[in-house]
Amino acid sequence: MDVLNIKNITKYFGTFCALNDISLNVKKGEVISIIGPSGSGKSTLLRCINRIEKITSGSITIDGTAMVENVNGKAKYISEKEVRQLILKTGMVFQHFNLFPHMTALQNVIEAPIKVQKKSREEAVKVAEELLTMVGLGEKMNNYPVQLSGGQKQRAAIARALALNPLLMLFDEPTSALDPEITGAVLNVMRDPAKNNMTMLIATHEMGFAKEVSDRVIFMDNGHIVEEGTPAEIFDNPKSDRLQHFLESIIR
Amino acid sequence: MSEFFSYVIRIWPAMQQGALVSLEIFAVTLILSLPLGLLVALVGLVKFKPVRWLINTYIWIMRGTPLLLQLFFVYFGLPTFGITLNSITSVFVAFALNYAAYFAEIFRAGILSIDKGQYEASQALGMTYSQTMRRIIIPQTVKRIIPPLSNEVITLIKDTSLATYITVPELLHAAKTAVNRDSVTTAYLVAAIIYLFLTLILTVISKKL
Ligand SMILES: Nc1ncnc2c1ncn2[C@@H]1O[C@H](COP(=O)(O)OP(=O)(O)OP(=O)(O)O)[C@@H](O)[C@H]1O
Ligand SMILES: [Mg+2]
Repeated sequence: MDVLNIKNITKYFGTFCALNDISLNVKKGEVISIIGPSGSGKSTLLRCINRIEKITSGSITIDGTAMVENVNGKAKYISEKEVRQLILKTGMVFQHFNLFPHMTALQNVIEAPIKVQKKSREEAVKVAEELLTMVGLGEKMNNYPVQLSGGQKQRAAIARALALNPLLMLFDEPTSALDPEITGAVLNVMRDPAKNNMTMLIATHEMGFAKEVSDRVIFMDNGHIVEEGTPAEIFDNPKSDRLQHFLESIIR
Repeated sequence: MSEFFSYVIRIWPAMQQGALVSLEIFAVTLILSLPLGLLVALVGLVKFKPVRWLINTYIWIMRGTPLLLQLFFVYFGLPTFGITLNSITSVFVAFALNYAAYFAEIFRAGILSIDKGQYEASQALGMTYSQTMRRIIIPQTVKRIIPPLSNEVITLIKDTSLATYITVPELLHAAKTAVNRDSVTTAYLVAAIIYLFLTLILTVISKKL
């Protein structure tokens, strides 16, 4: 069964069309990179999947449960409570980390498992310690975000998202706010779940990484999916002018 | 000199009694207006326009007219509408409503200063709106609003003296009584020192937070 089905979604901000008739099916274990120029709608697509933004029309189904369906050309969501339950199957990693600054790394990670999933504190702490150790923050669990470097913050944020044990991880340019020399550590942390059959959607400007980990690459422009295919098809054999042009522009 | 001290000692019990009433006004106002202000701030964030309009009007009136006028309205004006409150209760009501408006503005500004990424992260983690406010937004807001809040709290200590206009026996009232009776202004000096002492304590506390 697909982890995610997106059918003909559009997203308007006022009169501006940020997503134009996007359809996408994601199978379990698939790693998909989303590339495209700035403003093409990559972030908006990810944000619509976990309902930070609400779509204007179309349907989104997560793990077989419809979150939003098209009713008379308009998007109709299931109840707020059901949406909250459903999006727990997705984990989001943001460009600017969005860690909670008044909580330590550990507290950041255990917050939702305890308060949302109602796990016991001991259990949540145990999982959090494992995850933080896995992302290389075993020694920094009790640091507050200001006491972490950018790369460490992002790794803590990845641990926080993984703590809810999601089916689908959404990464919105996880390394764009980081200095080039520390992106490697964050990308390494993402490689493990990718190899371990975690389903991932990654909006990224890291073409090397996209090429390496992706099963499929999606090229977006102007709110459309212009081209999609294997990394080899997209990077070595781009068909559309727009993709060719985009790839030329980023090689510099 | 010793005459001065013996006079101060003589009026001290009355002054102390007045200071206690001032502190009572101060404490009751804070206990009522802080939660009320938070409530007003949170309700003021809803998207429903008429509610926001109502809240904004309330804040506008409370901040746009003198506190003394509001106090007069509660004490002398409300009986016209069949609501008669004694003087100290009038002070509590007027002060609580007035300070709640100021606090609401401070809370609102604090809440709005939190990055929207914090809401998005909370939402992505499945937290409800109330969990997000309680666990994520308000704790971060608290740190930012302590300086403006301290200013208001210090102002409140001084504002308690307005109650003297409706004959509440607070500190300034006690001083005035002594001055009128004894025809010396020493009691004002004593009152000033007590106010200074109280604001100093509050300033020190607010620096420690
Ligand atoms: N809240 C919003 N209100 C209005 N317009 C928005 C909003 N969010 C995004 N947009 C617009 O939607 C378009 C797509 O934005 P989006 O952030 O999805 O682009 P992106 O592909 O992620 O770009 P980047 O690579 O720069 O992150 C942009 O033109 C942007 O200006
Ligand atoms: Mg983006």
